Amino acid sequence: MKFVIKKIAGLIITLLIVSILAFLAFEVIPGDPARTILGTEATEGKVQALREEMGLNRPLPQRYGQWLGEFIMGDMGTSYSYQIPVRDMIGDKIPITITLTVIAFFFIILFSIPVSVLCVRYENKLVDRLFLIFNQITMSVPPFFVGIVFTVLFGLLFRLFTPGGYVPYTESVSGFLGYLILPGAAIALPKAAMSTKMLRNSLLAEMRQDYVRTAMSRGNGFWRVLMRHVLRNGILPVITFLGWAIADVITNSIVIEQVFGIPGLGRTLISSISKRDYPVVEAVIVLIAVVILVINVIVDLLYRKLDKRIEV
Amino acid sequence: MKKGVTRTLLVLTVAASIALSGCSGEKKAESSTGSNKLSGNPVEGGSIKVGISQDLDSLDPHKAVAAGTKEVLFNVYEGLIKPDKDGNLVGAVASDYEISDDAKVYTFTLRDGVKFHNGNDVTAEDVKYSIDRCADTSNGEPLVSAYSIIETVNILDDKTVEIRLTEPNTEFLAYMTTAIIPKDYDSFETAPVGTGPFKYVSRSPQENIILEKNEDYWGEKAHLDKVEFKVVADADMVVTNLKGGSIDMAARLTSSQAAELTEGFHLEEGTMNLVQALYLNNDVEPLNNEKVRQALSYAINPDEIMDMMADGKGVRIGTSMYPGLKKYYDDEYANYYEQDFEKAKELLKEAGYPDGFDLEITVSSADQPHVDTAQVIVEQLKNIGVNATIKPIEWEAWLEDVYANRQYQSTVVGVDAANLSARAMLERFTSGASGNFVNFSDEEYDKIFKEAITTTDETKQTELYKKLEAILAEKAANVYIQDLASLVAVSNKYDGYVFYPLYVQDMSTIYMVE
Repeated sequence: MKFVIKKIAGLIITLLIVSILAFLAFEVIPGDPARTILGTEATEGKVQALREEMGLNRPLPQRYGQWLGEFIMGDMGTSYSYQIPVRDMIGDKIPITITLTVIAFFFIILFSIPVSVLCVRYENKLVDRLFLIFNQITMSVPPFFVGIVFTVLFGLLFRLFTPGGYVPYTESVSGFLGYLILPGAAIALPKAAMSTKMLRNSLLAEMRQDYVRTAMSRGNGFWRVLMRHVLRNGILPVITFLGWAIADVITNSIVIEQVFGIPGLGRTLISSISKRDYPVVEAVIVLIAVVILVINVIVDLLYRKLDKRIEV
Repeated sequence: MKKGVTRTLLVLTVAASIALSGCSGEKKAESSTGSNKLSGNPVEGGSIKVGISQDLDSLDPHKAVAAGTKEVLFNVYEGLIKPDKDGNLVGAVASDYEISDDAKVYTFTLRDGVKFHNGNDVTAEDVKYSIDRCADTSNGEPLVSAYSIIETVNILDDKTVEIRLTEPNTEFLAYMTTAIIPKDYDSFETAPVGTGPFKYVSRSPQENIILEKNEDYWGEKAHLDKVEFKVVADADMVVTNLKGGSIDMAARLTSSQAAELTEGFHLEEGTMNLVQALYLNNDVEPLNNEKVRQALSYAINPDEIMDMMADGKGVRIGTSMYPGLKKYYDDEYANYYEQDFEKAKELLKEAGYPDGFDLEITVSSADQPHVDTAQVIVEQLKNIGVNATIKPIEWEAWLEDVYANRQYQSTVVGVDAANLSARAMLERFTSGASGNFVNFSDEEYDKIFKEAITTTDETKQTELYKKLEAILAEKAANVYIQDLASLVAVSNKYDGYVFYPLYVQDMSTIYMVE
């Protein structure tokens, strides 16, 4: 219990720091939101009037304080560029990005566990070698490039999907999920390769342990030993990696959404940054930070559950 | 009358004015690539998906600023008058207008049978409300700056509205394109209501905006039933999306993008209606020296730039006026400075810079055509010993550093007129003008400009405006380059695309072919 409280306190402090940094970032980068909205038509008078209207003329700590107070109360403010509540604006984007993340993560698991087990079973045989080469290649390719290759290959060459033909989930759930498969796979590929490699090495190390030899000598087969003992122990270090991988999947989905034209959180974030739409950017950043931090806590908890030796 | 900017090709627009007639800004040539000849007959109905490079900044026609927004809203809203494809101002919500001899009273007769998209008739009350809303100064400045000279808007009867000005202005009609909206309506961001050929259906931020045909339109009705403007934020994905079929049309493509669309599309070629130049800060050393500016003009060859970046497409220009504004455009300055390195070096020597100097060119990095142009310029300037470097910055920073604060040496950008305007193209260069980001200042120029805007004789006025163009060219206020080529890819399922001498996409003329 004490552990959970400690974790949550740490989480809140981290979130505060993240939100302050995001606020400060906009103070540092050039470009004034009022001037950006008005474009070249901006006269000094108009810029000042708009800054006043948007509350930008108040000192930074005051603005941050107000934003924080409202945010805690569940009010994320109003988008500068759309004049609609931020909550409405990102509300229906969240499921899109979460679905994409889950699909990508699912692919990572689906790929890495069976493949690494195969590699362990046939260590240094052809299968193992081939996968090692394959992993080496995919690991070093960034997801956006995989995305572009997929688009050209499956979209233009094989015509298996329409590039940019995103289907909203409100229109068709199957169409929506179908469209997300390739982007999900593009994000998953490098991560899957990495986690396969880790899992393979971790499992191999376990296989050389004394207890495995003992279990084997008692007549248990490879699969039985693997399932009952090795996998459970060998997966421990990989869980930390997977926790980190989720965070990475989320950040990669920001890029992939651009490539595949998916109107999720990432696209909202990028366009809001270029429009200097602070309330939206702030909300999305904090949201992403929350997700990543919560996943970290879950990973820690899971770790403790799986391995009683770990004390925090 | 406001202006803005698009992401793919940066257009610096200008508060506009004038041009009552005769400005046809269109150079339409259909280039058919291979088997792209259209066959079949036009059919009514159907839908189209149009790629746009950025989301709309506002659905409120009076508050929208970005050029990319105006080109979409052109289909939804109309003013008392509107521009046509030849650059004339024609009646829209008003069927007729009259301008008093002293150019101080504009009287408009409303057209019969014009309805808002919500079914209500357009009344004189709505018109007064719309104009007053844009002229309101309670927030400091009116939404339309030019409306500061409006004295009153009077309703004479149900069908007649009169606008009185505090000072004579012969060019005020051009400003009456301001959208007419229902009185006291306040849901523009969620449910816009206008009088145009298309009406609003729905919108999803960062995704799309959907319009449908207005069956009750007073004029020639649209052919298509539905138009979806789809945000394709990543410029690299435009061609892929066109090929893949998720969009049917996209404007403002680069020539390399267009070259990839070998089948299934036809390309419409026009110009962007803007003045691309190496704009020089006339206030900083050594660019405050006329001879130095002329030397730069002699060193830079616009034809070579066009060849390098767009296979020679585009129109070379030599002063702050683009060919689309036919009435005011003077062709003779296009080749005023022919590339001549010896002459350029000579001028530099006379100016006291025999060994050249360092020049920094600030460019908005997202605007590939301008970046490309700057790169060619850097090479060309090497020939006269000028050591130019490119400083890429974000558009938002450009607006602040270059445009607002004028902290720069030189920049490549495109300046256009949102409103068939000669006046605001040229007003920018008067001393102390708020948009005079190049700090050009010339007594004679100011004098002639004043004369031009106060004269009521149209022919004389045009002549005076041309004199101003001459001064800009001769004094080399900037190194003028070109009006960039504008390529529009349209799927072969559609035809009827029409270029305007303005930054708009008129979807009502587009139809499906069988």
